[in-house]
Amino acid sequence: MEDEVIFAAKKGGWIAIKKLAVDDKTALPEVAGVLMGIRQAIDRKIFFFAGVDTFVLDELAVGMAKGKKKGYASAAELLSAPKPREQLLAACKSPDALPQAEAYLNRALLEAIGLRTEVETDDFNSAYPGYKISKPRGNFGKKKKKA
Amino acid sequence: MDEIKFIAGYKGWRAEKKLPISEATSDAEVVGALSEIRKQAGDKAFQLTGIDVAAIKSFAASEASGKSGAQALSQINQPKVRARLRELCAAEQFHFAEALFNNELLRLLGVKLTAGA
Repeated sequence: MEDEVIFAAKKGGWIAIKKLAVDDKTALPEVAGVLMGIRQAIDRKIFFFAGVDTFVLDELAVGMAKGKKKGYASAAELLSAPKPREQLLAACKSPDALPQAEAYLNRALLEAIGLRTEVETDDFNSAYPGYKISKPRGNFGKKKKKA
Repeated sequence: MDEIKFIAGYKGWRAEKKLPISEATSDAEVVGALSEIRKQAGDKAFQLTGIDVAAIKSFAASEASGKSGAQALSQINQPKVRARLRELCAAEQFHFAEALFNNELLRLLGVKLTAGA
């Protein structure tokens, strides 16, 4: 198999394609960058397929984290606080999705206080200014526009 | 036809996952496949940043030792952690090292952050 990275996904209206042909001239950050992009593309969609309305939980997390400082003390407080079950259930397609909604809320809370757990675009671009990558498209914690 | 496909090869590293999607394919199967690809891509991205993944995971394990649950994060000495991570990586890699440390620490404490397995 040739060296390459291909991610192609189509499910219903969702289409995602990331592709990088790798040869001797391909720099390591290019490979790291495309893998980061694949992980980010999945992050944005996996909870949707798990039956979770992430926009509702982004708003909830922002509210819960309001006024909290970045750091482990805030993370401990937010993550160990009792989860608002009714609001979580309201974000679930079915009650079976509740554990996934809790996982998403955990992640959104960490994001709201700026605690990173993955390779993200800003850090990537800062470390590799010669290989700048555009931020992924999507609604990141911003209020969802009502139609 | 709907499908999810991930094929990756880079200097000896190989990963492959394919899921043809039909009307009979459940969302749980899709979530499972995406979760697997997400982990492979995310783990390799960390590795390719050049940080010492094994050393950082080992450090996270030592910090998580004897602790469980999110509340245990309050016992983590952040300045000490950051100082140690700065010893373990180059300055421009610090954010990657810290993200991996946080990821591993939370996993070991049992805090779930992802959908699927």
